[in-house]
Amino acid sequence: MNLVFKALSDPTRRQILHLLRKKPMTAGDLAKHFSLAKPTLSAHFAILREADLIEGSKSGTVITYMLRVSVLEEALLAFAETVGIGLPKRMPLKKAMEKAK
Amino acid sequence: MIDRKALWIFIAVFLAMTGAAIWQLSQLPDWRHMPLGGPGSHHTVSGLLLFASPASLLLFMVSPFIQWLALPQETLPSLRRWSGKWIVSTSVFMALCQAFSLTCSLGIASPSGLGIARGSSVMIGILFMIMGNIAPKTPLPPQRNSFELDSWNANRMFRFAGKLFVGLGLAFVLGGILLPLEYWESVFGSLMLTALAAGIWYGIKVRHERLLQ
Repeated sequence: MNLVFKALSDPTRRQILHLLRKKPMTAGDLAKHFSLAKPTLSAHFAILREADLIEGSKSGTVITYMLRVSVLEEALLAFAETVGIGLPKRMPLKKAMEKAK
Repeated sequence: MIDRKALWIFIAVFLAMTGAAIWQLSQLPDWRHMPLGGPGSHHTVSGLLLFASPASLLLFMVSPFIQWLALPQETLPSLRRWSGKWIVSTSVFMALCQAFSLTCSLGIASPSGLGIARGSSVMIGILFMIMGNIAPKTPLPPQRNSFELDSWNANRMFRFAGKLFVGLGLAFVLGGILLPLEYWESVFGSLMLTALAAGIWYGIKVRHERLLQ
């Protein structure tokens, strides 16, 4: 459970999960939504995979990630998003995303 | 492969539960009449009830083993993670059930008929919540042909089913504690039917969306 809390405490990782809720995406597609370096993003994927929140399937050189969250983990994700854990001044994720835009 | 640590936990719990059931059965003067409210109680059931929990635990193991035999090699890591959660949670749940029936038969706790009914409702609710919570993590085989439901849509259905089961479980727990007994049939019956209808509706929706893609 510690791994899950660690994974959900970061806003970038929560945003990755938020994107994967809609459909499975490749690492490249996910990278388009962030202005982060590839190794940083790969580290985020590794943490999410370690916590068993996402699953990656490799076909050739492309890795497609799919959401694998339990009901409790989804509730924790919604809670972390609402409270805005890990954001400066406890800013909710939606507000932070609007501000970034 | 099935999670080895979880498998050892299952074996230990299963042996402990079976041993406790045999020991308790040997204490009874007549195995056909186990007093529910402790020695001397007139409310009796068959002593074989003590074996219900270990037998149920054994049945819960069927699912991981079938998946282990049926799923392809590439799905095994996710099967290992899922089986670990499934085996440990069902083992703990069944051990609690066994502990409850043992305390009743030993007379440590002597609940009334209403207490047993409410306790059973809460237990069913907890079981629903455990199953529903783990459902979205069920390992899925990769899509082999276009006739099969692809893993993403199957995952969506499992996630929806999981939420339904957790909701139903919560309703059973809260209803079991708060609702008067005479409302149970209508409330729980209508909730189950609604959940069934919602499950069928979501299945049709997913299938329809897939055909449109």
